[in-house]
Amino acid sequence: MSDANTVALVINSLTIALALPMLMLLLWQDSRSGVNLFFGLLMVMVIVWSTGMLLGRISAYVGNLTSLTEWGVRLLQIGFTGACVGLYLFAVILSGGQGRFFTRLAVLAILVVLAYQGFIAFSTVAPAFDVQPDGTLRYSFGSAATVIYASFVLMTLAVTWQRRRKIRDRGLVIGIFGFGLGVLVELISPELRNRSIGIDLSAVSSLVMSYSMVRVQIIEPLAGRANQLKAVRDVGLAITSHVRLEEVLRTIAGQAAEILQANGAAIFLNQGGTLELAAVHNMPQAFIGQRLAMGEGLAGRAAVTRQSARVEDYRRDWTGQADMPFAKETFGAVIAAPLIFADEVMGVLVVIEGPQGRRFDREDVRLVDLLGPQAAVAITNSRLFERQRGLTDELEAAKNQLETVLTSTENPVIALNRRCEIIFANPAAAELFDNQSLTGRRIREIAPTSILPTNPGLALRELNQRRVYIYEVTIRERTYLCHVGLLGRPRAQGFVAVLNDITQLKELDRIKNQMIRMTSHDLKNPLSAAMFHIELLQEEGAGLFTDEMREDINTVWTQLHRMNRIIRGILDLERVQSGTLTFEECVVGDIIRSSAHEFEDQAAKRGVKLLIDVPDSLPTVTGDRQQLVQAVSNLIENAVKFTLEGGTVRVSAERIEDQVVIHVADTGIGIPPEAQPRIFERFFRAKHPGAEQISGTGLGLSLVKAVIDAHKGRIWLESEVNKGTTMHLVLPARQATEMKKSEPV
Amino acid sequence: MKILIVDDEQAIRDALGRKLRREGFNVFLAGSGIDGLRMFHTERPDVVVLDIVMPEMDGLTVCRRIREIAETPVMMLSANAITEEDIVEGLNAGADEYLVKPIRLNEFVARVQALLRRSQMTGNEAKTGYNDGYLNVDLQRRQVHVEDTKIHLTPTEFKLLVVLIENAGRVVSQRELLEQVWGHEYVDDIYYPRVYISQLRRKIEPDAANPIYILTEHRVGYRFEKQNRT
Repeated sequence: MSDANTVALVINSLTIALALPMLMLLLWQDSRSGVNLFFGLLMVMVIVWSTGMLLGRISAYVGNLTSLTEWGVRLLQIGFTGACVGLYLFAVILSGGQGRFFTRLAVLAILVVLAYQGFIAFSTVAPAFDVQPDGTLRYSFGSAATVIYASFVLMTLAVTWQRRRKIRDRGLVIGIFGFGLGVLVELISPELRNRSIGIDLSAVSSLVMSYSMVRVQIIEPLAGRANQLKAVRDVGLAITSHVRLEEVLRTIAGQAAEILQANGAAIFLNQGGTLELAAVHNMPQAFIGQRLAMGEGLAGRAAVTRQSARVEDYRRDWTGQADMPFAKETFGAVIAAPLIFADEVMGVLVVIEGPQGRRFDREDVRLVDLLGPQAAVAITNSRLFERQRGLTDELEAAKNQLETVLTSTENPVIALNRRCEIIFANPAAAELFDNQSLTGRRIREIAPTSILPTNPGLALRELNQRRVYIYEVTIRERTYLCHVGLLGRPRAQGFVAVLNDITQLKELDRIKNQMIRMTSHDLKNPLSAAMFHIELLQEEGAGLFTDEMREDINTVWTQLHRMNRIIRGILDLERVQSGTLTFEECVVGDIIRSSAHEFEDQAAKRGVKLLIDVPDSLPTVTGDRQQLVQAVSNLIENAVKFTLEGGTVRVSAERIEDQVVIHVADTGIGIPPEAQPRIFERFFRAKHPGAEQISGTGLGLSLVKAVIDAHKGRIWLESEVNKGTTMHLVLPARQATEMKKSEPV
Repeated sequence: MKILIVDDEQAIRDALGRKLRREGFNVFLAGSGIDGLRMFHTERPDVVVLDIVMPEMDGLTVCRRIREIAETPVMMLSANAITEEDIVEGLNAGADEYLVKPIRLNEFVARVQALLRRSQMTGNEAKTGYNDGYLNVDLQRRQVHVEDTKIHLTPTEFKLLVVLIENAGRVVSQRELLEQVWGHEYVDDIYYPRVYISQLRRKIEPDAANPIYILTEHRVGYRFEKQNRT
């Protein structure tokens, strides 16, 4: 056996021994990767080739084993053929040059080649070979086969050269070229073939390729993991160093492109179910704002499936809608990764490589996947930050407005916290306390006790129940109405006091009361004198007067009486509205009966039927008896006055839950709808046919309203012209009102 | 019976005087507060009818002056009453009655007669009286002592105290008080009890602000509570 043969045997054995574990390693790492599969195919073919060679040569060397040598040569030829095809397929897929139906065509090609080789192997025709006397094996290829194999190899070399930039590892390029050269040597030179130079070259090259594959697929990613983590951390730092959403997005896009050494990147944000392009890196800014429906485009698909999507060649592989304008023309490899935070897709990060650029592999997708959550958090943070800043701005603006309002108001305003320390005082308040600086001081330090509520317990109780407490206070000879309210809801954080200067109002009120007092006195004295004298005249001159004179005197009396009623009406109203009522337990039936009693004669005279319908079981009410009688009297008087002869006035009362309701219903001329809303106003009298001749002051119903209001009751009416009017008057029943015992007056 | 009418309006003075004279009263007329006071001293009337708003000396002052020396029933007759406070002010000055002008002459006469009746009331309807060591009410001699000091009560105040003592322990409503003390024509004048009760408290209670004898039943009436001091 020649030295060359010995070397070839050793190399063959080593190739088999080394290629097998490397193949296993690669398939273990990723058995679904196309590159790995095709490399696996190539290596299997190389192993078959080497095994055939080993078998043939050893059996030839041992001698007398012709059939074994023949099987060796057959295996050698199958492996060789498969290796030629496999190399081509591997080169194509490695450089990303495969077409859409590449895999199917490749599988078909391999099946055809193997079937052909199988047919040859099991045909009776023995392969052409001979064994030299020194045991060296010589074999040859048919010229047709040589041309076919050579063209495969040449195509492989051409593809590799053309797309060498797409192949990331130089060792692979060298391996492919070495392997191709070995095959060519095997095909072209029988001399070198006999000396196993070709196969040795191919075997070594296949080892180089194996090693490169293992390095590219396994060692480099492992070695790069630390760098990647560092890069991802740097990205995290970079994106979290910004708070404005636009900057954050731009940084994420830039960092993603940089870390993947890609040409460009873009970020879509999920805006209410639609993806909107929000940031780009190395791409036209004009694209920003482009919209993409969920599920459309690669980005849309990533958003819907919530998984990263990768295409190796966008032009070739992506058949759906384009993600961006000119995407089909300008994109090469693309990765789209969803940005998910709190189970919500915030957006999609798209990293893009040009058509001539590199391809993205699984490691790249992993990197982008690592980047995704950080980006999502950064986006969420900056959104929250922007929302918070918006709120803060609004709050600040509202605060400024409020402060301006409070500062410019003439009413002193003071706000206190729960410890009664002043937290705000407007200039008007400061002026009230000698322009001292008030903020931060306790209210008791700056204000005399006389201006605080005299009964703090009561004030607090009122505040808790009604959230407001009002009391009068005198500061520097001016009278203020102090409105105290609770600050903050639902739990009070403090108090706010607004002071209204009512000095002038009080003075006006005093003057008004004095005027009314004087007027009433000045009018009532002459009125009384006149009335007294009319009475004396009636008594003393009874026998002297003619009927006519008596009639005249009666008229004077009636008119004086009417004048007195008007004055009394004004004074009554004044009294009720100034709130000086005397409350006692009142029997509603009594009130109604004594009110009605007054008008029985008048009703009879007018031919109006006056009916009273009051059940005995009515509860009593708490009220000012005199005022209630006055109110019900006014209603009955009106009813009698405005009801024509033959009509009916019906006064009834009933209990409805905790209330006593009094109804005064007549069949009179009614109140026109337009007059109804004003009927309780002072001095208002409805203009209505039939009402002109009826005298009245226009004060009666306003008094009724004032009385009922003072009793915390309600009054309303139903009326139809020429049908009648019903007044409803509601008073709280006594059982429902609070009773206090043994309290000094 | 002598009645003094003090009013600065001559027309009113004359009308009231004429009416009362026809009813059989002996009437004296005064046109100012000072004249009225002078006439009170000289004539010693049984009832005084006082206007309130008068020049120089008003009716309230006149009433207070009269109260300093006598318990003669005083009737205020004013056009000036607007609020309860006005009436209370008049009663606080010592008046037994407050009428608002204008008034029917017959009613005026009836009120004067009722006032006279009240002032002439004798203690014969009273039975035993009340004595707990601090407060001593002698119904026979119409005398009231607080801690052995004799105190002066007007006839109306005395009658009010008697009615309360007779109903000791029971709530007497304002209307009952009005009917029993003033007469049934007064049942609507509910300011009276309140004013008189506070006067009474000032005179007989150890502390008028925290009464122990005359207690208020809020919005119902008053109750006399006997004390165990002996």
